[in-house]
Amino acid sequence: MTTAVWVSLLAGVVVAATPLLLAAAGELVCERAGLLNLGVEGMMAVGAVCGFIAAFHSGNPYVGLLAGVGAGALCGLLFAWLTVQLVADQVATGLALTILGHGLSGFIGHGYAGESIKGLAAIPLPGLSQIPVLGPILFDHSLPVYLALLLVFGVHWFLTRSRAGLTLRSVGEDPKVSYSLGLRVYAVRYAAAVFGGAMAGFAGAFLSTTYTPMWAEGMVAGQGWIAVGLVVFATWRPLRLLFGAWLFAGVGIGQLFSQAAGLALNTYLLSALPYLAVLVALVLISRDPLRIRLNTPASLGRPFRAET
Amino acid sequence: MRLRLLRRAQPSLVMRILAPVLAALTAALIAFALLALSGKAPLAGFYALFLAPLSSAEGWADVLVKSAPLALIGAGLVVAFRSRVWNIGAQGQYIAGAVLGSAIIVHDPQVAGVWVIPTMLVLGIIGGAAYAAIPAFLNTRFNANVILTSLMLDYVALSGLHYLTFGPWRDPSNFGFPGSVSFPSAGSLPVIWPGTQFDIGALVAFAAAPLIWLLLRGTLFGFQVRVSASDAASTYAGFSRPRVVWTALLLSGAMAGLAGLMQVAGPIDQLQTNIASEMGFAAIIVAYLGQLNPLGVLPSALLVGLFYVGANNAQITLGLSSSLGQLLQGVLLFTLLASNVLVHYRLTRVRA
Amino acid sequence: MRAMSSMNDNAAPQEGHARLELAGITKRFPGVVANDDVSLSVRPGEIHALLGENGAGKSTLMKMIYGLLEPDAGSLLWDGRELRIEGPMHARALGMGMVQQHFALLESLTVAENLALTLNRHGRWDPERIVRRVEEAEREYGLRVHARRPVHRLSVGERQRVEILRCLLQEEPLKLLILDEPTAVLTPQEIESLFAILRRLAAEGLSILFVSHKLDEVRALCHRVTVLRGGCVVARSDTAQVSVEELAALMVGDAPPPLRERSRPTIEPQVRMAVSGLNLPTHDPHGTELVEVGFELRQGEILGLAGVSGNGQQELMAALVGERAVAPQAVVLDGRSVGHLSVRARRRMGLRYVPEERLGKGAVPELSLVDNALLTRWPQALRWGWLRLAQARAMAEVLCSKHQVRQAGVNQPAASLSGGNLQKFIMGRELDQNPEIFIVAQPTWGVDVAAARRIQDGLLALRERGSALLVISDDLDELLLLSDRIVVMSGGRVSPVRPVEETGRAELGQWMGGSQDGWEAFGDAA
Repeated sequence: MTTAVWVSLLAGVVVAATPLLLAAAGELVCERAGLLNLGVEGMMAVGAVCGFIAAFHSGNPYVGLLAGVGAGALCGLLFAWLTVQLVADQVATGLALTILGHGLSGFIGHGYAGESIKGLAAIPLPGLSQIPVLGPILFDHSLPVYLALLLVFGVHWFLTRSRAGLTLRSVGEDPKVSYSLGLRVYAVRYAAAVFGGAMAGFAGAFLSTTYTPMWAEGMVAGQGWIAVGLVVFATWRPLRLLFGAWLFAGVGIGQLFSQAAGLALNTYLLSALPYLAVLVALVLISRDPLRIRLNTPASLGRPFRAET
Repeated sequence: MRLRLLRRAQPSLVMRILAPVLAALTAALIAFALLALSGKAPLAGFYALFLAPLSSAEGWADVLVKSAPLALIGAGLVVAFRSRVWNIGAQGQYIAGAVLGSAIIVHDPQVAGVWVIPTMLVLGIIGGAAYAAIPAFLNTRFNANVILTSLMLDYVALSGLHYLTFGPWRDPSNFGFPGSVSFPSAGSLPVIWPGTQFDIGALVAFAAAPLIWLLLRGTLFGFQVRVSASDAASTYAGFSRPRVVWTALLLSGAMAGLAGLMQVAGPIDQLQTNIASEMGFAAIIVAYLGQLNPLGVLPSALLVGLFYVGANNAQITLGLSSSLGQLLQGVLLFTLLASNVLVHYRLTRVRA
Repeated sequence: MRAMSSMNDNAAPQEGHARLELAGITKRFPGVVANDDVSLSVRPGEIHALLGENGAGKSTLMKMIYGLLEPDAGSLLWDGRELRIEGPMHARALGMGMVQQHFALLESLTVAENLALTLNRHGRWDPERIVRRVEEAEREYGLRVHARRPVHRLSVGERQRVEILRCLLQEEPLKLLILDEPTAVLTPQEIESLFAILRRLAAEGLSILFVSHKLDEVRALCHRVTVLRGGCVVARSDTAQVSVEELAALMVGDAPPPLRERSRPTIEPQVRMAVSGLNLPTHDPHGTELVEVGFELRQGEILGLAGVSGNGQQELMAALVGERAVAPQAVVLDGRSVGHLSVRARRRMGLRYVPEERLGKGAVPELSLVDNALLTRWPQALRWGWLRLAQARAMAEVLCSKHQVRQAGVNQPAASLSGGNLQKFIMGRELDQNPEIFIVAQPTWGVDVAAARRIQDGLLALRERGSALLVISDDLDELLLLSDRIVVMSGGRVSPVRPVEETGRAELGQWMGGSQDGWEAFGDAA
């Protein structure tokens, strides 16, 4: 294979990893605050349909991205209201969000299937995109691709270097102690859930306005779930998300690529590969129970309510 | 004046029963609003959704047929969820059961004999249980999260189903449409309500819930499930967590597999690409709406079944999106989770 | 506001206005009145004791002062002004600090990060500055703390010092320090040094509210005392003017029956359980590894296992009872190697145990008392895989009536029992089975004096029957009262076993604090 093919392949991986990175970074922040939101898939579906509709009517894909972020944030808010305010079970609420998101996206997107919009244009970074090999792989993409990379480093900085990040980690480790110290547990969890939702919505809108500038029912196709798996795979450390997202995106791209290369493999069986890859990665990372226990936010999935 | 939630000294039994009713009413109100917002006549839509299916015997039969697999899978999920084993891969187990059970027919489309149906049922059970054994093994041996592994296997099962129905198992005489051959009479469950699709499988499916209720109430396994509310207490009681995980997954997987088989050998009569139609997720709603009580699963399965039939009806008569049913299911689960706060908390007014 | 009751001011260190004054504070929870019309005042420079037994409502009152709970009625005056405390932040801004019984520390964060959460809320984010302030404080107050260590690696005493430091270093100068049962987890030596620091702080004008149920400590340290019983104030006095006996009577009300007479062991002391060369790596990232643990438990004796919590007691218990498998010969039960056997198998051999954690392990909070009675007895109600529910119900009813467990019906969840009743229920469930070997952790933790007496009596009765008992406790006084022999656990190792009459608080305290002087002298002979 020629270098050009490899470069376009790797550039494709970087783009395909973008929705995974966005959604997983949001979910990671949410989980570090102690909230397990299994509704990423549904929030992405809502973000995708809202993003597409907004882009379709405004003619501006950037408006679509913003709409996706807003719709996702609302989903996150709904999740926080149920789990933080009403102390609902987090697993059940997350599943409800996924089902609701699927249904809602199908319902409001009903008339938009088959329509198309002008997608987001690439913005080659001056200078950097001229670097041979690395330039086209990393620095010749649309805005969300850069933002996703920045987000991962931003989240890392936030969690390890900032006051708010330390507060968020404290709330995720032990909300009861945090509350008794006077930290605003509810506000922190609300904010984390809204951020997680916003990023999932962003990821969905990226899919429908940039990755494939169109909308179809079920277009998220499990990427939200992969993002949730990615957080476990990264053992709740933001920088490790990069590696995992590129790995999973690579498997997905490799599947398309092998078809193009004319390999005699069955399309349907190949389409199971990304999910199997996540499965294998999860097994490998979970084998050591101590490692999981050491890194899991201690209050993850547990409800908290202050006595009054 | 503002409202505040105060913890009850003990969870309220009355609220545990009332919460699903409250949730269903709220969901119906939201449906009304959604219809109004989407520019349809809300009353007509409401009628098409909730009342039309119940206004005829055929409609009732439809609802019952649609509810049956939900009740069966839902009862299995109650066991899993009460054991705190989050099997959300019922969809995949359903497909696995349907596929394995169909193998006989695909192997020999002309097959005949009384042994065929029982063999298919057993294969359906084995298929579902075997597919659920994968997350059980990965969890007990490698500590892998059941939620994520069972869910990933949903997508894998769907890919496998597509492969079979578009590929090797496609009926060549079917004008290029995907799907297996239609099942011969020896491979179809006998209909017991003539003129409808209500067959013996539906009866079996509804019978599962009371059996599961007995299992949970009276047996040592049921006690182990109850004690699973606390890992530490289970260890103290001398129970083995891996065994509970295995049993819960095998049981719920077997029931999902049986449900899958009884759909393809019953109302669908063929292995198709879209046999699952989000059945696994709807069953999760059924389990929760029944307050994780096996008997509660029966009314909640009927309600969710009504949503399916009603949404279908609304799509045909009013041209509404077919996603409306799923949307309402999601709304229903949300309103239930919100209502459930009243089981443990009391709303009181406090001075600001 | 109603007038405060008059008080005797003679022994108080300073005259003048109260720093904190509570009047008519009332707090109800579903089913109980935790505080009923409570009044209290603390002056500058005073160490004021709030005395009361477990469940008297002391912690609830402290939480209201610190803004963690809101009173239903009553008023609070701070430096003469009536206030409503909005929350812990507000309390701190007023100059209050509180060290709770369960430390408010986050295990995975370092000491400096923990402190920064409250001390660096405003201005530039600079955890390094906290490190420097901790080092300064070490020179100023003699509070030794490693600022860069994660909290899970600190001893209990060190954690408490971190908590006190957090109060001392806060931005608003500290005026009132609330300590909730601060000595419960310390060694006798650590208690002494804590008292020295508190006296010095009080001399500098700090008000200290010392919450305790230990009479001698209150007498040794405090100027005045307020006694709480059943949520009501039953007495206020200068500590110099009341005797320990009077305080005891005030705190408990009716005097509990005396403990049964200890009989001399009548049977030849035969070894029932032998532990040797027991090593166990930890599962819990914050746990303690067991190293070469060895001791013998004999028939007809109570062996006390002393030690500051978190020194491997939980891991040891897990290994002894079968929750974690170890080398077969590391635990020998009546001559049989059982280190690899399960909880069930060991229970069948007559080993029963009561864990430290009651709600969540000893009992499942959301399950009924019937189910909870079955928790360790289910094999008895089992036939062909079915549980005989009528028999289980009868079992639960007998258990409750025999052990005077106050409950509203055996179908009620375990969570509805009070702490003392739950402990009676759990202890009764195990004691009624007449275990051959009985291991119990913190048998009277958090229960009132009368219930504690009943439980201790049950343990002594079992000992007379000829069973072998291992009692694991933080409370050295209780161990000295109950045990025939005593052994100390520290850092995952155990000391030599000593007969109670041949040892003293001082030596045991040193061992609990980590010293290993005299461990070799006994060597492997023990």
